[in-house]
Amino acid sequence: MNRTAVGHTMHCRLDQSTSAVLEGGPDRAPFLGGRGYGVALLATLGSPRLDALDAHQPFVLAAGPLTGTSAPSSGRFAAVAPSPLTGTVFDGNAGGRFGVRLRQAGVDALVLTGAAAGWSVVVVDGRGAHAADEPPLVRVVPLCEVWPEADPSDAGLVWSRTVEGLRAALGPGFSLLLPSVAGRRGALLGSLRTDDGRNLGRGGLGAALAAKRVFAVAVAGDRALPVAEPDRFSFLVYEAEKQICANPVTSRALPEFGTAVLMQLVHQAGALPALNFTTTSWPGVERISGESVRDGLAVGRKGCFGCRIRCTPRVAAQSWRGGSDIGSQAGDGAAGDTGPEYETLWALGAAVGVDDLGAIQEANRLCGEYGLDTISTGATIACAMELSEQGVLGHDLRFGDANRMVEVVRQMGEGSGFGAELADGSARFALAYGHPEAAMHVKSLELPAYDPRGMHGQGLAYATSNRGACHLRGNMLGPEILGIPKMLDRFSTAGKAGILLNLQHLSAVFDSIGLCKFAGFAFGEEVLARLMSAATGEPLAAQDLLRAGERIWNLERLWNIGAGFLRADDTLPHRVLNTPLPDGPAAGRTFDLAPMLNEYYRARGWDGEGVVGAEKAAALGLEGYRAALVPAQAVPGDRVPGDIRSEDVVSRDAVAGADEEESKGGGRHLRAVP
Amino acid sequence: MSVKVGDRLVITRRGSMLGRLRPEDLIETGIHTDDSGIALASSEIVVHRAVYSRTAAQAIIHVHPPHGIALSLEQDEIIPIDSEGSYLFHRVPVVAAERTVGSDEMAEVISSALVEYKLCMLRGHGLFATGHLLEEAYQWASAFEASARIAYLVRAAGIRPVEYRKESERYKDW
Repeated sequence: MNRTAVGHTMHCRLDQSTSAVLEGGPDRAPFLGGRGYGVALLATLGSPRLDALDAHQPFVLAAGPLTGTSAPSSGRFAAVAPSPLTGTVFDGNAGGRFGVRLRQAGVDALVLTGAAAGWSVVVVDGRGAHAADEPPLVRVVPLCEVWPEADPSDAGLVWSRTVEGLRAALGPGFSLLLPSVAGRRGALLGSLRTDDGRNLGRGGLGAALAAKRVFAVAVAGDRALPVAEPDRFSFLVYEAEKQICANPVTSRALPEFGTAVLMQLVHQAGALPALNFTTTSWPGVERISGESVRDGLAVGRKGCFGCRIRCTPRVAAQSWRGGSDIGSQAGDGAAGDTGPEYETLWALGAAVGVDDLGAIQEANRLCGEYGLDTISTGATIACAMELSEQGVLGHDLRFGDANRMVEVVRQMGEGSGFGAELADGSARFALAYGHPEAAMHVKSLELPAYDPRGMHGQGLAYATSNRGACHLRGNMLGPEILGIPKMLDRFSTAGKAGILLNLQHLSAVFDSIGLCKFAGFAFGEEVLARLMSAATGEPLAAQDLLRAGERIWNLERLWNIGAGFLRADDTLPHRVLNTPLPDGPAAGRTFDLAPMLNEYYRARGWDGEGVVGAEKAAALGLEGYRAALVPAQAVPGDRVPGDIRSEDVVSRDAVAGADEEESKGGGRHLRAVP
Repeated sequence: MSVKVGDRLVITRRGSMLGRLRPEDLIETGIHTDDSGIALASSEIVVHRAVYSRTAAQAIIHVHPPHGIALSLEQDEIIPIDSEGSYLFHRVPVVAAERTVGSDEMAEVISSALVEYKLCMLRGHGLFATGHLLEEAYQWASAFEASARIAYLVRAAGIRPVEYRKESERYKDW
């Protein structure tokens, strides 16, 4: 057996400008790496009782054991932190080269705690190591030393300009991860983006990193990433690639159309929510479909490190009539030449009633430049459009107004005009105007591009996701739309919990080992476990892998329970639960959540309030975490000791008609209107 | 056949005809503990429970595929030689137990095998296939028997297959 790559967990104390290998942290193996290990580090070093933006909360960047290997689609890394948007545990995941660089620098995980005195660049340099196990150099360098001309308060210092400036200042060989204008300003929809244009869009992770006064993280490394059993690993990679080639989703649909291939399929199923979830029959769908993107927008495709699927549309310099000169114009081959994927097409298209691909791409480009989550941005504008059409707002903002939509995105990025009111997401915006029912969110995270009334399993996935409404933490797209592994009745409710929780565990596995979930259309835990065993040299059965996924999921749940999230938060928007769809294949349907949730909790071995009990925690090796994270009595309606729901907020909620909760640190999360 | 529903188990009635199931042939009982339904449940329920306790399976199908059983009498593993079987399975382990119906021994060896594989053969008895869905387990079971039949026919006819798969010798280590 050969030696494997040596990776360190580096702890960087931003307030002290020091760094060292973390001593006494959690074991990595039970949590695999990436997201799982990041959550374990967060749970060990942070606290769900503190505000998400408290300087003591860790911010973790972590790669997986397969990141940067020859395994297909293995460029992934995770960022883990409490979310200032949702108040929950949160992780973002992206491909590109940044995660590979982390491993090549000798880093399994980088933990950032405290906050720097001023805007800084965290520079991780693992090049030129004299020994394979030598830790990299991690420095906290004031921005004024790295790039004296940079002004972080400048709304014109967008992503492409920042990348250009940092590359010039740091020299070649670095990969970058950064918040942009929105995140630096503290906007809760502020995302993170790598220098090669990969986004960790959701949950306000850009705001979380910027709160630590981190302007960017720069990583350089040149270390080889050997695996324990290279011959066997090579054979397994070959077999995995065969599966990818044999599957029409991964070999044909995604490479040809990108994720936009879903537009027509989801619409035909009656599950494409349009106009802020008021209909699933929207005539503009063909103009923003995969075919339209292929024929009218894309000039090619691009992929992440080691990806055979290459799902991302590459676009030429955009020429939309209302285009601005903000940032890069995305010339062919530039890092910013990324076109919209399905969720973005939906959020900046169907959700807001815009069927102009040029406008959608311009809005998508602006989101990238300003560092905004495209899903939440579009969904929040859709919420505002609905309220505007109802006469609630003093602004004229109509469904289908492409020019106005693009303008509002720019304002959200800059923090100017009416758009500034939207940059913290729909839940806060709608509540401020006294109409929380207009916000389509779970745990303050906007619903993505599937209407639960047309896909009941997906609704359960939204309700139970540990990071709020999310399609990437257990996606029922496979069994409810694509027939993977088999087609289920998308309107049935009984029996969905079991398949969902396995998908949730598998999702945690992919995010933790460093592979893209899209490979999961072609193969599952049997292949993944063998790849992991050959890479690490540690025997790992398929069921061990899923068990690790379950461990990660439950640890995230324990954090959320500690932060005060219980059954009442595992819900869906009022509209989805109570208002029948007016038209389309799912016409007349609402969503009956309670029986599905009951079955889900039973399948998980949780109690009726969704609490992970001592026995369950012990079975997963999480008893220590449970003791540390969960208050003695996590009972709905009670205040968690020392934590988060102050009485004055509850009183205000009663007036506002919503159930709003505030953490003692000042951050708040909003509960969906029952 | 069985499916897991929450913390419950729905399993076919002992002696029921799997091709002609009626609603009364489906018995619900605890996934870990007995209730009165146990008196009517399939004699293999002990195996089903063991598999559910050790794996993430949401459904199990147990069948008696003739060609698979025939091959299991001679081999410790079944390596498909057809294309579909190669893609889907690579290798199917064959396990053995002295008591081959409803015993704790067979529950142990089968559930152990299914920690690593989605299906396995019990020598001389039959196939256990798992899935995230019942339909998926059914696909594994039917595809396995098709694959086993091809392997059996090739052997019976004395055909010496020309290898068309790269590194198929490694399937033994799958």
